[in-house]
Amino acid sequence: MIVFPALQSHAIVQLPTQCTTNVRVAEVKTVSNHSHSYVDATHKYKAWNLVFRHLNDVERATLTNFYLAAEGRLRTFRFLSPFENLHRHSDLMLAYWTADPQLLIQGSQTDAFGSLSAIRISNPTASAGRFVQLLDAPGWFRYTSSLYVSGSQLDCRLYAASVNESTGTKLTGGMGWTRTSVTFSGLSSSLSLQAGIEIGPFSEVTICGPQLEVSAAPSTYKQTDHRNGIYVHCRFDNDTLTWESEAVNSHSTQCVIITRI
Amino acid sequence: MPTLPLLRSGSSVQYPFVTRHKCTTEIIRFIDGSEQRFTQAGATRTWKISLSDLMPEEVIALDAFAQSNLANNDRFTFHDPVSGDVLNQCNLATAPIEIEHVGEQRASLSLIVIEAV
Repeated sequence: MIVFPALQSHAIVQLPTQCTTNVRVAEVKTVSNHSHSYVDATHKYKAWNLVFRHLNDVERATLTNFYLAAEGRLRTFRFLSPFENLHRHSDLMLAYWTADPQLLIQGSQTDAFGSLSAIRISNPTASAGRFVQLLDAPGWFRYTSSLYVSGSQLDCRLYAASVNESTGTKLTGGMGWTRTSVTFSGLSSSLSLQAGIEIGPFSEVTICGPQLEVSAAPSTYKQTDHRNGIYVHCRFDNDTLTWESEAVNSHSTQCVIITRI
Repeated sequence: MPTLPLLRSGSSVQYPFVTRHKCTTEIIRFIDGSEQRFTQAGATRTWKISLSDLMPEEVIALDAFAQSNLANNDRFTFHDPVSGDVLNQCNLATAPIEIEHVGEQRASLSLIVIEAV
């Protein structure tokens, strides 16, 4: 599976970017020349209209090679929406997260937003334990992982790993909720990524609002359900990729990416 | 093999110019929303080159080259102005060749170069 590439700035898109959601409209024409149209609500589509301005030769070649690898509208690819949370069930529904067996988890704790989506994780053993989610996100992008934590004596860190490489940052707690983030990139060439939290020996922490995003800094928290910002069956909506070269090493183009949701 | 005449600057294009990569995907859509996709041919590249402020000798050379190419449908060599790749299987897709004389010793014309597959 090929992945829509990032620019040299690590950004996947340039602003402004237009994102639209639509439904399929089916039309049945009868032999009597009548037609019946109906909205097929089970077929929803999402589209991103991406406009790229003043890309350099390397970025142009990367995008062109990707377009040719996708063969225009023919093949599907993976696209990471830079406007969405890449975690599924950021409300910490445990079925979507993986916890090491030594961790004790209590759900339905009061969270930073006034509801009951926080969880308390305790580690009663002498070895660190991880509470993570495995994501279909390539290791070589730049990500920011963020999390709300509560607890005063924290021996925990935000954690992200891909194959044999990992990164993280120590969480700092306080009396109330504190949001901590870590930005990382270039973990590996693997197509999957683990992101979550590592709880140190004999530690306890209350967490909510995990967010992983393709950006240099954390944005406003966006709660997710079983859907996240990783779209694995995207296509180009056009069989033509047009570049306008304005000057040496300066090229502009536009493309539309669509996917069924 | 003939080569597209260069301008007096040594370049084959002026900025801005447009490059198109075209694929040919056929899609059969079914009433239940499913679909089948297949490709008819490989991707093609096209360059739309607009040249302005040309000197008479540049216009003469380009016009003669274009007339000859269009008459004989000869393939020629074109240097991709971005990648530098030497492409030996190119044709002109411009007909007729229109030359606009915009002033004394100054003219403009446009060419479309297509990489044959």
